[in-house]
Amino acid sequence: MSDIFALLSMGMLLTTFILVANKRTMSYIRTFRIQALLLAAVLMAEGVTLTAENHVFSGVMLLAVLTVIVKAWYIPRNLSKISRRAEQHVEKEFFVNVPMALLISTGILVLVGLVLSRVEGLKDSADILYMTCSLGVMLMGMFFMVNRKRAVGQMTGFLVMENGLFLAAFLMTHGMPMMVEIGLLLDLVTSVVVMGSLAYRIHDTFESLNMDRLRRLRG
Amino acid sequence: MDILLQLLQVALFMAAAPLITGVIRKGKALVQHRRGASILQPYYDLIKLMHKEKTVPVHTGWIYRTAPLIYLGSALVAAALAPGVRGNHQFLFDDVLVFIYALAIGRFFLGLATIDATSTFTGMGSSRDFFIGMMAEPVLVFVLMASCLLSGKGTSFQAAMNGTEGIAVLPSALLFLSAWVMITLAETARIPVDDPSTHLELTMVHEAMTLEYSGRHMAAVSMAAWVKQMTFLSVAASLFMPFGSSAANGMPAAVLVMAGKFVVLTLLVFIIEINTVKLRIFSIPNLITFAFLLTLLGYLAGMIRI
Repeated sequence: MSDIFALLSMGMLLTTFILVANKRTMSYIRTFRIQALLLAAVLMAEGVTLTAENHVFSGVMLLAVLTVIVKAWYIPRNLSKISRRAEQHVEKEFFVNVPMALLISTGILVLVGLVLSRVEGLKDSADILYMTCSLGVMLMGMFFMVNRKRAVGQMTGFLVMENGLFLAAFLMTHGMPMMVEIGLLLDLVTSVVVMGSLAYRIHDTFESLNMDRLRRLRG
Repeated sequence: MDILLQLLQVALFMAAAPLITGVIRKGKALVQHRRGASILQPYYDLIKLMHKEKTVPVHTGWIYRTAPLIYLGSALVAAALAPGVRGNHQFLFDDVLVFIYALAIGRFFLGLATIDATSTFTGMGSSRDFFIGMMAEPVLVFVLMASCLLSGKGTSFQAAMNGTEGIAVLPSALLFLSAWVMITLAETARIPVDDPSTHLELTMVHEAMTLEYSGRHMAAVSMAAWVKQMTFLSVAASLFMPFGSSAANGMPAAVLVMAGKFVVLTLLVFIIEINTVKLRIFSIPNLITFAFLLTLLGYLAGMIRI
């Protein structure tokens, strides 16, 4: 069972790497979708295990379905709607270029691995692997968000970060209370709706989703 | 006995390698709503080439004439070393470095021959091929060495295979597999790096190198390229898809599993081929960097597991 989790969390890490290396908006929204499906697969695997062990229907399976609906269908659909508005579908400006971004992400991951291998309470090597993967996804998502200049990229980065956080919480606790999880998903939907409308406003004002145009708002 | 098995493997690779190419071509044709040639077409091509007259440019020397054979020989050596289904049999010269350098010798001589052919396009092709190879080879060494290091039993394919048996190193196997597929695409001139079906001189790499060859020379070069491709897929199948490849359930079962893995890998190459476009030549370093980092991560993941 732990091998399936290891494989899936490694897969999420891999998709994050693909995201960091990706320049095309539509392509990285698709990659985000695959990542969400992998996350749902983690939830589903846990749900099936719990149901089989306790012979009681586990809410985690329901959560997996909800994740598919929200993260693999609703949010990517919204993102691609926003990005279809903007004419440019290839991001050309980054703060650091792609090979450098990949190197930095690897650096982040190595750092996470090193730090986690020194944490006192974390003895099980499987746990270290899960934590490295999920914290890696989180921090690389953050880096992705910082590295992009356009609104859609930054939103995707934020969502990837949230995926990593969700994975970390889930793999460590094997399921938080149902209400908390559903609340998290609701928060996410709200934030995407708010960010989406903001992105529309930005696009209407500046005819572009490039955040560099927001000169007066920056501190 | 062991040597016989090794030779049998080479023969099997020579027999099956054109089929893989044929299947990929047929699949591509079907996706493009063409009927496409039969999947046996590469065999027919080989037979045709064997019967055709070979033309040799005037000013070429012995390198031009022997290079195809050396290239084919290097590919066959690589095929002989490839970790197919071998059980506990010890193969001769079983070392990943021999594998890597056998391929390097082939590339070097084909490069020399393209310069010997004194055609502009062949020289251009070999310059590009060396450019790609220069970046892909370190990653090749790194992937193979990393899997050997994780096994901790030496630098033979046997050790790497024993090390990857069992599901314990699955995350690193996944990462190595992704890196290896990218390297395979680069080394065997498949689509994100080179378009094998193009004949536009300005973009082609491997095809440009073989532009001057004809007749039996061309047959040797094509055969070598196909065997090389199958060898790369075989390394992926037995080292980086570590399940069912042991001969514990008897050789026939292992061979069947192996054939299944070949089908999966061929499909993978095919899906990548129809879904991506050829990269600009200066974007190829990005791809290779990606492969390199995946390998590094796979190695680190393996270290955590130990």
